[in-house]
Amino acid sequence: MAQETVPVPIQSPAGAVTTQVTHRSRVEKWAFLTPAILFQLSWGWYPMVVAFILSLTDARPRGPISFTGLQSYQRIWNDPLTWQSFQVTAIYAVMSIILTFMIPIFVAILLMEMKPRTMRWMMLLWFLPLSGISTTILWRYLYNAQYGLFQYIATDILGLPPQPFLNSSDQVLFWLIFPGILLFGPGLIYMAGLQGIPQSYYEAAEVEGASFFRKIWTISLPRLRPIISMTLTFAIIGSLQAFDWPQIMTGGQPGGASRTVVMYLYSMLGSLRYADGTALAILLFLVIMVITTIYRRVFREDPDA
Amino acid sequence: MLFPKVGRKEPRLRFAWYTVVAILLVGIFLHLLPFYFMITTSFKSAAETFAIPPTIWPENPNTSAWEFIFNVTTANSTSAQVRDIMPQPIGIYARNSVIMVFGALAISLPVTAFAAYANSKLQSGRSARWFFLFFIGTLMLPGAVTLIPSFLLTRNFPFPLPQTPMIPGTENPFPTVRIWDTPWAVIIPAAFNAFNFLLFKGFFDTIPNSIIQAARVDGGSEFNIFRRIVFPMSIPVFAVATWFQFSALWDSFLWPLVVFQSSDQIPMSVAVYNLINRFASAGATNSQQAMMQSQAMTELLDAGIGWPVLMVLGILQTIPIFLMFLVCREYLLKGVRLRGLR
Amino acid sequence: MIAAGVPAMAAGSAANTRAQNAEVTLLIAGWPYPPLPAETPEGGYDAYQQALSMWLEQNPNVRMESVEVGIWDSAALLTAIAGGTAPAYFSTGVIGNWNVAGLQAAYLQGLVANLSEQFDAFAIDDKLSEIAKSGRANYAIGDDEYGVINEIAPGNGIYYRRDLLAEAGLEEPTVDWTWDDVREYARALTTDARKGLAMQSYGLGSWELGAEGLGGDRLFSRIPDPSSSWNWRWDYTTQLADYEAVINRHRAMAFEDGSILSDVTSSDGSIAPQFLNQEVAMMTNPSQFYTRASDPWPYMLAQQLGKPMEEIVGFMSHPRGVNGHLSPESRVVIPPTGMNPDLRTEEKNAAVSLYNFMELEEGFDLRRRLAYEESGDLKRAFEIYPFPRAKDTIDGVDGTAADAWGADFLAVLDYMAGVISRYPELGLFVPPEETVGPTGAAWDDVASTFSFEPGTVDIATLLQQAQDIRNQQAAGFTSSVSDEDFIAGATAYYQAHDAYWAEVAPDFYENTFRPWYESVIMPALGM
Repeated sequence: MAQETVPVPIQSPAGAVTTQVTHRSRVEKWAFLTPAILFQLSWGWYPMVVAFILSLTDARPRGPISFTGLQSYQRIWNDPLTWQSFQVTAIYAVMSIILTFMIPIFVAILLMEMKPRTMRWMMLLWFLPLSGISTTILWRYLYNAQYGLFQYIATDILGLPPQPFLNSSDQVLFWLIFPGILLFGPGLIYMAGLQGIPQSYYEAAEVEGASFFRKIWTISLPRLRPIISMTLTFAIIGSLQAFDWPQIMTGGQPGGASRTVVMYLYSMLGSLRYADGTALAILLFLVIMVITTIYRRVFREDPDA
Repeated sequence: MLFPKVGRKEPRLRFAWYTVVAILLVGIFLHLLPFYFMITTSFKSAAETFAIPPTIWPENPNTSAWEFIFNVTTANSTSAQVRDIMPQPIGIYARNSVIMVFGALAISLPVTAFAAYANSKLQSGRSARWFFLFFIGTLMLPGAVTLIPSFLLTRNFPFPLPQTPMIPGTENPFPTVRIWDTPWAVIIPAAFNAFNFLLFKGFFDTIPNSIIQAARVDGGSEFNIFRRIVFPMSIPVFAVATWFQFSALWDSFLWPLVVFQSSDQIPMSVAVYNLINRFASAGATNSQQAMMQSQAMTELLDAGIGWPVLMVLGILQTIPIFLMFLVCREYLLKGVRLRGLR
Repeated sequence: MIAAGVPAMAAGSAANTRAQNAEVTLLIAGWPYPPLPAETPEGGYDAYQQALSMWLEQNPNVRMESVEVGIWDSAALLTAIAGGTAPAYFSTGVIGNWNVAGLQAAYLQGLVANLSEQFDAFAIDDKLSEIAKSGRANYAIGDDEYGVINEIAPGNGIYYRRDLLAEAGLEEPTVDWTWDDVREYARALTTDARKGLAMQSYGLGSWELGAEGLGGDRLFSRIPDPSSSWNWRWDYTTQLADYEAVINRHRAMAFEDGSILSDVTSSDGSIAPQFLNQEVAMMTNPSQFYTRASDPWPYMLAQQLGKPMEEIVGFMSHPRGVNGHLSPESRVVIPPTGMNPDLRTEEKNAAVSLYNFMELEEGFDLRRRLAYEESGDLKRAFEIYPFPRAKDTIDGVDGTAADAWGADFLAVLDYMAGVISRYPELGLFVPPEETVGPTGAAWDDVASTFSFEPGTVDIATLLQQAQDIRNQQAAGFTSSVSDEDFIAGATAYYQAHDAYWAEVAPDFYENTFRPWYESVIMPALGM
């Protein structure tokens, strides 16, 4: 293939590749990016900007709309329940990430060790039962304070006094997160990442006498690092917007202890307070943006940072 | 391989091994339990479904729920109430789902993958960071508040308004594009998928730059590098991305509910979940609301639709997702075979 | 409850003529009047379809078309209305959040068609029953009507197992019972296999405190305050002793007696099956389920046990408060059917004409008569009683509602329709607001803590907290009603209460209401 110029690679200290870009490769770069940019602009950011503008008005669904400035923002800022919901969301997100993030990584690593047939079978772990109704019914039954299976285990098998489970404002968040511990969601992604590690690395380490954990620490995890960084980014963004599961299980109770920001937002939308709900959403967006940016700086994911 | 070939027989290692397997089996069991529940419920009688604790095995297994669905879907149902609830044969709904989902995948996978590759390998420094935020920033706002603006855009793109404004000084409205009530209303907004972008970018970041470097030195356009080198390596991640987006789109409910109106356009998820949501009142905090939910439920009961029938529908809805899972699983494992690791 | 038949028909025909003049297409999202199927089904048309064909013959210019709109999902429905793609009919409760304030806000915001013209043309008001009209605040603002009534739910109450009560040697409840009585019943009926009473997660706040007029936005808890921006303030602390009495009794029932089956996930849909499966002997649920002949309601329980329903299941309106207050939870509940605000006049005429035919006139009689002939069961003819229309018999059917459902139940209904539904409704006096103001979340939170939190709860502190939060939230809202109008409306409202309680509950009036009225309300309104 004819070349206009031969690109000369220059290694920067952090290992990124910079080249003296040719005209063609610059064109190609934009060719790769442009369709995504267009779609993302028109269906991603454009509606968000419209929503933001609406939060500065009284946002009547069937106009006429009048400008109200920051009134919605003031209103939710001065609302104690807003801050309570942020607190609940923070606890939920932190607990959720601590308890549920690491396990899928190890599950994926261990699964790669198995025979192909076993591996295939075990991968049913990730066939998430997407019929939410069945899962809801199942867990409602398990947690029922009178006759649920967990109560049975607690009182008859472990001999504890009757436990409140979802009925206690102190414990409700834990019990809401608990099912997630056993759902090894992003594991498939890690398996995809682990495919690329050549066997020779492990064999070489074996020869050098590396133990089980040392091999994981020096070979598997570093290779997975960018993927882990991405899934952690998504876990942060996602857990701060938790809605479906707590909403359908407890509706925010008891005592508002399971009401996340998005749940409070929905209750405002449901009361025809669209501007207030949108203002709260924008506030949440800013918080998530800040947290994500800080996290990426701290973890120095960007090699050029 | 983590486990040394030699030391495999060692009792400590075997114990650890079996513990791991045991835990994974518990996980699978809990995962699949809702499915088991769905399947057995579809063979129960309606009254039995209310039993608490739920019976593990149907007392008198019968196929009436399955027959009901079969009758409804293959011929004109004689029950007017059923026809109100599901006016089209299930085949139509399935067809719509297929068009919607495969159409979206066909566009979204290339668009998103190319953008992620560019952001990962062709961009650097601040511009790469800004573009990264540009591409994933939309994940950070709850979709509930962009529902109405996005809906209005499907009616009168590019104006997020119910009526198209007039060109100033004339009697003519601005030209607009309307994708509402067509499969494009789902396909186009799905054309870029921010979550898959994260996925692809993460994966492409693991590809050592040396490989790309070598290819560049050998000569060749970026596109060819992608095609000949990066893509074959990335089949596992494409499999995962396809699987996630397929199941998300196949099961998506609110957006298709909002953008489709003709009964021959709606996909299966809407048809099925519309019914199930009417049936399972999810915690009303108000007695009036609860009453109405109960009324909606009763209408279904009058039409002969109880939990068993809903479970049959749920199963039918889930089967394609399961099949797709099996397909994607093969491609995911292909990476293993290609490199001769086993 | 006898209607004037002839003049109404004449008016109907006049409007029918108007409907006949223009080509009209009604888009129906499967409810409440689904179009006829494309092909005649094998067994012929059912009762509803026969009635519909009759109406279509009378109105040949009207076409009905099926569309798919998520009318039961509030986000989907609101989006459709905003975007101009709503169907002809939907339930306004879905966007109005199922309470009068929300419904009226939806009407003011123009989300629902104004049907005043059609109400006049078809003389709807003359044909509605008294109980339907008592809920006018749900479907009208002032003289403007915004919704029609398909079904009436005459209030909430408690279902109980008659046979089990008889076994335990207990007297049946009367309309004057209290929650102390409920506690007795529940305790007596609790066995190893069964609990006494099932309640929704919001039970304590709605039923028990509601019986005393306490909590939420109820009589003693929401005080007019014209000097503030929102015109209302909340007071959850003045009657602290009463709150403590009720809450402690509930907690005793739940934790000591062990007679309540309830947790944060309990809803209507989950407690009805519990009643059906005999896990509980009583349940709090809307009265209209007594008159439904289907799963999982009491009718099915009776079928399972093989006895007539009147022997097994009884229903009573909610208990009175210990202070004598009547629980307005047993009032009529009417989520009206609203129409697409974009409908043109001729479309509205057609839509209301169909409603009029199906619910108030010959269409209703036809459907019920056919259902009766098909099943031979009088209950089918009198399902979902009371009817929205004043005429409570059915042409061609020999029998009355009392024959179908039993005189006892009808007596309770009469009481709820008569005494309780005359409870003055704020929406009829004070001009409505476009925005509903602070959500009730702060109250719901403390109510659920009182209900479920194990151990000890500090009632006084939590009530103070809820009060403070709501007042703080209210400071961010400005009422769109002028102080003058508000004071005038609020004064009329409390005077109506004054008259009401003096008549229906003299002891309560003397001991509780009047002192509070004089010391709190009158100064607030400058009376």
